[in-house]
Amino acid sequence: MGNFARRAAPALALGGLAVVIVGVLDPALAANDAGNAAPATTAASDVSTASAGQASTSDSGQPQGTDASPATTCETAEAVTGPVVTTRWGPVQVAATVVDGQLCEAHAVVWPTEDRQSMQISAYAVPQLDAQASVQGVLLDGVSGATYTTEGYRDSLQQLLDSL
Amino acid sequence: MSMTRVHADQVFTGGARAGQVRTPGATRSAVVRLARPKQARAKGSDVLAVCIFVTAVTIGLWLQHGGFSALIGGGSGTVRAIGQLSGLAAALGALGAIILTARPVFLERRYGLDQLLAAHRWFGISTVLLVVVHAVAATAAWAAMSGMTFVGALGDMLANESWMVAALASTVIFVTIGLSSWRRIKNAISYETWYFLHLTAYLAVLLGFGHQLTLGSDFTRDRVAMWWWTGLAVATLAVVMWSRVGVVATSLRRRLYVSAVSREAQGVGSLHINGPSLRRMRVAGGQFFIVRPLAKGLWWQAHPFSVSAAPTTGGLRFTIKELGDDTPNLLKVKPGTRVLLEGPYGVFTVEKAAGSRVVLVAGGVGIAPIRAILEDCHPSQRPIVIVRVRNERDLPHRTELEGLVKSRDGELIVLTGPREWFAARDPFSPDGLAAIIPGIEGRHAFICGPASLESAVIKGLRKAGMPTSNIHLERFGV
Repeated sequence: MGNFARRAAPALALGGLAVVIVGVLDPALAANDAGNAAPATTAASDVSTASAGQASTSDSGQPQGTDASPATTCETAEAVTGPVVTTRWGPVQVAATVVDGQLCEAHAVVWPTEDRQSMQISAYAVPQLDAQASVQGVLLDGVSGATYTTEGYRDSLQQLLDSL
Repeated sequence: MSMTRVHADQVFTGGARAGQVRTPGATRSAVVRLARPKQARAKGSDVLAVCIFVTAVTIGLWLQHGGFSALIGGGSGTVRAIGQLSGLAAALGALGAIILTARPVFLERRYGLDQLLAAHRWFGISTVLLVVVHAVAATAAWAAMSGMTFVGALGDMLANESWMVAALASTVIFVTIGLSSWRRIKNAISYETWYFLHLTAYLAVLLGFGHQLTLGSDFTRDRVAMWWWTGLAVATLAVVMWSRVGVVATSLRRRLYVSAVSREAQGVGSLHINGPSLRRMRVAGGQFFIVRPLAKGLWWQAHPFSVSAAPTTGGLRFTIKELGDDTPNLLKVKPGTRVLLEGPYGVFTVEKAAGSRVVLVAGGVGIAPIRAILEDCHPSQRPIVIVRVRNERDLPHRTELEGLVKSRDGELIVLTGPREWFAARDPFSPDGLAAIIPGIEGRHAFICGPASLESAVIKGLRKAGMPTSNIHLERFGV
């Protein structure tokens, strides 16, 4: 019987180790005890809901003229959209609110969603890019791991500002 | 070398019953031959058709998802397409390997277990290589898409994607199994260590399946693809359950036991198996069983052994040579010990000759299935039996062989001498074989013995004019 134990040990060790590592580390299974998976899922669904409705906001490629009345503030100004920029992984389009040449806020209205990986990357990159652009403008830092989307974002925003 | 030739007319133990085995401990009732196994239902073309269908649908789905344009598009898209294609192929390969090793009856009766396992080996090797290619290409593509380094991309996937840790664990298991099957390592570890490691492949397939469904771009956006792969997995599971679990259940239900153990020659003994359910089994001479005596320290080891006499209701006989670290124990098993028999397996039976004349070649204990086939031969097949042993004392069942040869108008040729001697002077040269085997071109050959003997005989027979399709081998149940 000692013989049996010795010969079965490598297989049991390999199989046991695999199960334990997967159980502890895999996001799909670790989601139960840690809340870390929940935000990711919410973010992903946000992206898909937003992208479903994006066609209506992105049909005009050219920025619309802003009403340059002196009473306009960041709160009352209308957002203008930049052109659709095609990147390696899909189109990016940015909308922004600009008052007197000052950027109030920017947010993407179109982002790469062609496959699951793009959706996943967009889900975490786009909110960061929106936040950065609203503060830093076209000189935004960008998101590592989303190089192409960052470039497309900068490009669309740059062209939007240039056209004003 | 000495060569003993026993001509039919020189043996006087004759009569149709010569060579029939009287199993000690057999029941008193009339001893009858067991029924022969049924012919295979699946044709070779059926199997090919299923393989082509499965491959075509899988490739078709991949093409429909734009796989080909990505593949030829260059850049990271190409890397990604390679990753997808190798992943799909690895998944198919793993399922194929599992089906082959489950040895379902419809395949085994057609090809024989040794052929199934040879195919399993190729499926397995391909799967391991494809898994590695897939893992590297998919990670590289992920890195390229997201502008990360390779290691960064790997970490990102593991941390954020469902079932990716499982996929990595699956890869590690597959690679370990592949390495353990590499001849150099396999020879260094015991058979059971290797076998138990191999069992973890089921876990690897299970762990790998998750990321296919959650992450594979071929699945997440296509319902048809998802159902297709789920269907393939369910079908494979059904075959495994039906074949493996069914076989274990059957062998448990048979209630067979060791009726006697006998000495046959130097280092060779016979295990006699009997039981009331034997009469319901279908067995032919030349087939083998996987034998598992339910004794302390032996139950977890499975040994493939050929039936060494015509299988009758009087019992099955297995002739075993003492080699390896466990076989001597097998010959010390006490009569009355329960035995699990899995099988019969193999297509190394006299039906392969389709009534033609035959030549039977055995090396050492390879005589076991040859002896059983000889008993199934009709006198019109004029069996010529060539046995190679180190010395006369090593030849088991000599009297039986002489009697069987005599009653079947055949001839027994015993070649004795050490292995090195044969290496220096080839007794299986085309001229030598043609001289002792009249009408060699029209005969069928059955060979069972060590690989060196096997290849020497095959070479000699082919050069002497025997078509390759007439040469039949048993590599497994020795």
